[in-house]
Amino acid sequence: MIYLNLIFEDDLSEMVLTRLLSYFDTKYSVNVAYNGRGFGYLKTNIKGFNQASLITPHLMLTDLDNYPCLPSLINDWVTFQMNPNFIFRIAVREVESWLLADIEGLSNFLLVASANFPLNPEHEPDPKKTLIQLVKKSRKRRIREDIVPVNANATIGPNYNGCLMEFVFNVWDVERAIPRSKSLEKAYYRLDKFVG
Amino acid sequence: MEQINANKDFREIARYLESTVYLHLLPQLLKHPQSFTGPDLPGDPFGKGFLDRISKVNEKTRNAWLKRIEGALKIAVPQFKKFDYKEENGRPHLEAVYDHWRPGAGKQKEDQFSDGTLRLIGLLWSLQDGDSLLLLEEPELSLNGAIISKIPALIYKLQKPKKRQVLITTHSLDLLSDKGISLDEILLLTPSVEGTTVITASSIPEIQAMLLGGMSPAAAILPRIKPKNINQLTLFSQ
Repeated sequence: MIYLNLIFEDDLSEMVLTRLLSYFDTKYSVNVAYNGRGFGYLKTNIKGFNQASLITPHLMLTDLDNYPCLPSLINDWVTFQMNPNFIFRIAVREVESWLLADIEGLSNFLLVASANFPLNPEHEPDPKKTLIQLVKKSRKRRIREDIVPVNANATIGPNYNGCLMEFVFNVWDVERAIPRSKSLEKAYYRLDKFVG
Repeated sequence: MEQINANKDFREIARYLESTVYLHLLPQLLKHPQSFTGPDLPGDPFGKGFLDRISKVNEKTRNAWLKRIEGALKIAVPQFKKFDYKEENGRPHLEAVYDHWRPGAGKQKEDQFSDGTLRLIGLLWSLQDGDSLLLLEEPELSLNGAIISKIPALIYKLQKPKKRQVLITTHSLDLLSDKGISLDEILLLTPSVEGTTVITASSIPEIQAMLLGGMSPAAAILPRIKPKNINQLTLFSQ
């Protein structure tokens, strides 16, 4: 069993990582989880986590966000020698696109016709916004109220994480999502091949 | 206004204000009630009679509410296993069972619970009990940061079916980091010689802009509320 420390930007990313790791049965066990509450913490401390990977493996997930491409983020963040036990994954462009990539699952969960979903979630400039716009069409009132911001003065709904947690752990299918998300596919196979 | 004939139109306001619940549970009062003699404060704002409040609810409802609280405590409190309401010598008690290497050793009554555990019980109970305006003072006290960060979503979920209004005071970065809180749900109180001004966070254009730029309410607002010359605080010790 490989004991992993996780580092991520927000609650949703933590849930996604946890669910992803469960695809490998008992290969991985999560030890400490570092919630960065945004990418700044991750970028500032990446060297520290890389150093700590000499002791125990670390898995960091960040969003590509507004960087033009993957190499541009990596060149900006990784100015040191990366340890082989430091697993650094980037969701293109936000972790929400990994959820959007499972069109069938999300469409059933939200009760929104699959025709509304983007075929290439990695091309969405603002996947969180795309997701929220889709949820506005949902026929499930509780889900709309949980996920959609109460008004223009909030960016997510009051139970955004709690509600999406139900989706991630009960419905989201990584194998269904992989064909539509290269960054998810790469993360999956990296974890598949990794030997601590 | 004190004349019954004249105040008829205002009675609804009086009723509303009377039904308002203020809870700032002070664990020491609950744990050592004999040490705090004297007349009880009306409305029991500090929770000295919190257990009496629990005892007055009908058994079925009480069990349902305590079951929910038990579920939360199992996640939030290390080794916490089970939680029961008991009456002994006519006095109400809460008894918890914790995982312990010695069988039967992990039993505690409420006077042995940690402050954080008691505050969390108080918070979760008061959110379920009643549907009038609820005022909560610094719900973050004595709680682990990760628990505090869930408080806004907990309040939302528990008050949602009743559509009751909850007002809280807070200093907490963890609590205000929840981006699901709308800026017009946050009031900034600025004291001054002339009095205290109260404005919504949404009325400050920079704060709105920061939100659109991806910042949490905590990141945008908290730096504004620190004392102006706080860096001089350590100087007085010289």
